[in-house]
Amino acid sequence: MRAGTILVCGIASESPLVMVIDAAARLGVDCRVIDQRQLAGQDIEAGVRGGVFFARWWTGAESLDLNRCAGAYTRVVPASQLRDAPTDPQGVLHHHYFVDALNAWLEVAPLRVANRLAAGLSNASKPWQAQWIRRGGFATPASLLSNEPDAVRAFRRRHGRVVFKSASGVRSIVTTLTAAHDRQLDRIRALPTLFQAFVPGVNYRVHVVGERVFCTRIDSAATDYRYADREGEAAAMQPDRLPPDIARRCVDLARGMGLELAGVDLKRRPDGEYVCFEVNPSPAYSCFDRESAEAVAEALVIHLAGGRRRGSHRKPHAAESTPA
Amino acid sequence: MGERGVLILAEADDPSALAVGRALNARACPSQRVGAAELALASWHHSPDGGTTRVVLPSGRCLDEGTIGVVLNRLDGVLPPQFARAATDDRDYAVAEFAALLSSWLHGLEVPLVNPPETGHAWAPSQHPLGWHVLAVAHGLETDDFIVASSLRGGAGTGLSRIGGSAFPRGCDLAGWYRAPRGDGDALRVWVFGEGCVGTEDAGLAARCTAFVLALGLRCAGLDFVSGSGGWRLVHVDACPSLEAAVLAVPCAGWLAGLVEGERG
Repeated sequence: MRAGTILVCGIASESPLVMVIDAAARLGVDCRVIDQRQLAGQDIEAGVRGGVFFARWWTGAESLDLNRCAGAYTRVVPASQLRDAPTDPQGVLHHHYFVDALNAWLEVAPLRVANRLAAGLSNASKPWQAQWIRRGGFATPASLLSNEPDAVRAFRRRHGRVVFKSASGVRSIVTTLTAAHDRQLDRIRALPTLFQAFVPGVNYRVHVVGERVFCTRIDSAATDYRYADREGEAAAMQPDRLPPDIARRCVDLARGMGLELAGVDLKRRPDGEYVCFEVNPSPAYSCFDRESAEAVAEALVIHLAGGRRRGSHRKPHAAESTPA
Repeated sequence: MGERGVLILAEADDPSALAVGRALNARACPSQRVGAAELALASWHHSPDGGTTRVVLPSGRCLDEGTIGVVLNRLDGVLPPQFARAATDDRDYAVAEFAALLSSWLHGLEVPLVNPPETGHAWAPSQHPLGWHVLAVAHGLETDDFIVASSLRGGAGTGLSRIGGSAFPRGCDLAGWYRAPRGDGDALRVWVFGEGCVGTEDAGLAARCTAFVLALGLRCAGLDFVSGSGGWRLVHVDACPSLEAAVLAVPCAGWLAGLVEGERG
């Protein structure tokens, strides 16, 4: 294995992984891929013997000392999300412990990992993460987590337009609370629900890779631009640049959470203030404009391989913002 | 506003919570216990953006944030009873959503949290043996050998025993967790309470234990050791140890009361 080798783990055909693998090829970085769909014939063992921490992967063709990798990018998914997960007893057991060993190793591996699961834990509670974000200097939307319908009605009267969404890491569509929903508000008595004051303005998705910042501006009238078409709206994405102090805040926020790669959701209000909604520890950066996404993938490869590489000294990308 | 004390999150039949509560009361340190179902059925008004939180328990008792100086958490998650018979996806969603609320509320209290609520992160070093073995070694604690493997082709599992078994056909259960046989050496249990330890007079071992537990993201844990030729070897980590015995409940209560005093100060 060459110095500066990076490891990519997950479903190799998933676009964020494809872009990193392609970027590594362009940059001449040695990149090894653990494809969750191709684990048959491969093996892994990790542990502590005689006080020594080791991790070894058999690819089928060769054996690699995983602790010698410079960095790792992981988007490993649960077996339940694999279309073609093994179903025979031996295959199930093999797959289960392969992923178990890989994930447990990544948490303590002596290399740069984008990202360790522990670093992304705050994303499992958006209101807890909002507390981090505010400490990082960003404004966050006024929020209420409640199972009291009257409290939600009062919150709505105070803020006008209000949205609701999941408080946990479970993905949900951000939805505006309408008069039609008001009639169903009694249902929240079963489970406290997160409501937020709607923030008007322009959306920005910011990808932080170490100290580098890439920004995509999203123009959309939809409540949740990710699902704009469901609202009959469009979402136009283009590379943009952030003011240096905002870029710095994003870098510091990601670093404070222990994230090597982060997707920061911002909105610039009409008064110019940037409001931060969320820091995503496993961002699907490839869903944004192609130019920014390729720049993110290259930056990630360089970051995981240990730093800037020959041939990568070029002008900052159009979507790259310089932190203060 | 009442005097600050210890909020114990534990079930009503948790003898450790009862023992620590009694020991706190004996020190005139206020304590209150709340269980998972009470939290799930409470009325919640949580404003995470710097506002206050109002929690009214089903009994009508209000959990006043101003009375909470320390949280001792012994719950391993909250399943809202109203979702107990729901479809799996709905139940999982309810558990995740309630865990998100609990995390935000507890961290927002900005008081010492012993220990943080379960995150469902099975590979956290406090949960997975590979993680705690690596951290133990990094903190100068000897451990038994441990490996997790998808097969034994590499030979690292030689001489080790598979932990647990499997229902799969004989010959298939090669993948798994393996550890060294325990042997019949002397046993030692050390309880870590913040920067203090109960169970060992060895100051060096105590210091390594407290640093190790802190690195796991915990403030309280029970650590099991067995003796070997090289000294004590760590073989088990318990993030929610029994504290029922007075020799544990009393020092734990003393430590918690000290944390409350620190918060008052």
